[in-house]
Amino acid sequence: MWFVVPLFLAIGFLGGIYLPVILPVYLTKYLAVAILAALDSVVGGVRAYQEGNYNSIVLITGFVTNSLLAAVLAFIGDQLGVALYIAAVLAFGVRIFQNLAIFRRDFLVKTGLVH
Amino acid sequence: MGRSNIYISMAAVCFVLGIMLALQYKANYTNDLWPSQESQQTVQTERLRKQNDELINEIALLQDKLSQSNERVLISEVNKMLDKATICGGLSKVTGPGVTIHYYFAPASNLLYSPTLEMQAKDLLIIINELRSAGAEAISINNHRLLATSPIYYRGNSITVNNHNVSAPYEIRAIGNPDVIYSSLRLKGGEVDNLILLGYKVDIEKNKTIDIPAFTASPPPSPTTDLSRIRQKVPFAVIIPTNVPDGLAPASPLLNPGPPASVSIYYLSETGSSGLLVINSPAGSGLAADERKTGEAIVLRNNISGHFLKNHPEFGGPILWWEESGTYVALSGPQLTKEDLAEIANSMSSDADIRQGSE
Repeated sequence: MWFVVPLFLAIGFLGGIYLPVILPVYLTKYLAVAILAALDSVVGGVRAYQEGNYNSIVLITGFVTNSLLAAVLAFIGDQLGVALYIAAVLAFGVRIFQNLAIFRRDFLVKTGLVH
Repeated sequence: MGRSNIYISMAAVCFVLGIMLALQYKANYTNDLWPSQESQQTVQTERLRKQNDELINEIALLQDKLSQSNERVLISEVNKMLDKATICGGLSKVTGPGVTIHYYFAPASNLLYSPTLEMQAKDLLIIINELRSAGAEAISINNHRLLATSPIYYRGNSITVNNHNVSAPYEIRAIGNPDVIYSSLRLKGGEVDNLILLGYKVDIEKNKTIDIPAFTASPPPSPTTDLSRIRQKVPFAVIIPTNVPDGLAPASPLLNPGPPASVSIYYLSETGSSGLLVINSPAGSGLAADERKTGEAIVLRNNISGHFLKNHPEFGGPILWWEESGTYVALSGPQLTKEDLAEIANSMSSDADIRQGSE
């Protein structure tokens, strides 16, 4: 698992760079919050794997819906003139740190460095 | 299968995330700018572009105005220059406020001298100079317009301005600021005071409007035409020397209406001083009328008896006079001797034309 994440991240990154698609500039905001949501899903998946509750369906559905919801929320916020993207940023940011902390603790206990 | 399921899903999710990251990166960093800066730059660019358009419009407007006013300013400048040049060139009559000066030499009985023509001409120049320094814009002497190039010249018996003869009393008109000109002329101890001390009578008058005529120059007098003109006018024969001493040139012959009428011809040296004076008048006039002025007897051509009078040079030099053909003729010259005068007298004839001595 430890080499899957970074490896496929890298592969995806390179693939994206060489993809002949250029995102219109006005969409970058929405993609940013979507990336945040996607990142949260990935970290959550890593934590679940560590805990042993890994469920790929949860991972994939969470990934897709969270990303989409974040982008839509940001878009609606722009239309309304309210910075709704902040909600997405806060929520997913907090979750990333939480999942990371849980994973870390679990990892350290499991490998015996901490009881 | 379960385990590989984990790997596959994780890999897929990471792959997609990677693509998203790449796209975001590409979109943000294509302009060499940090994303946060880009929005600022965009706003600023928009603002500057709008400002630029406004400024271009303004430039076009101002250039238009400038070319219009340039033309107008240019035209008015050229007109101003033209007016100035016309006034200076004396091409047109000038009217304006100014000063009129009347002055003439009023001999008082207690004065021992009367100014020569040379002195009178120089006094005239002094007054003109005062007027110019007081800012006079147009000046005329006895109704002859004075230009910057007009000479005031003394010639024989009179002063000439622009080749016109002028004589006392002199009326000088000047257009300018009347108060400035008046006060500069009447300065205590100034030129006018000097002239009054010398015996001139000077009258200065401030005028609201003065007319000064345009410049006219009569052709320089040629002594020959004048002579023929004079010969027609006088009842006696005008007798002219054909042998003129070297270095003397005749001035225009002058007719004094008299009575009795007399014709005087000054022969001037290069420096302008008179070297020989020839006077013709009816027989029996001049020195012939004075019994005391018989002087020393001399015999001239055709057995004419002439009379020689010794005279000091400052009074005109020695005089030789005689009468022939009903004309009284007198010669005098400050530097001439009795022999010189006799030589000249023997060369004279009533048909001769005016001529000058050799160089």
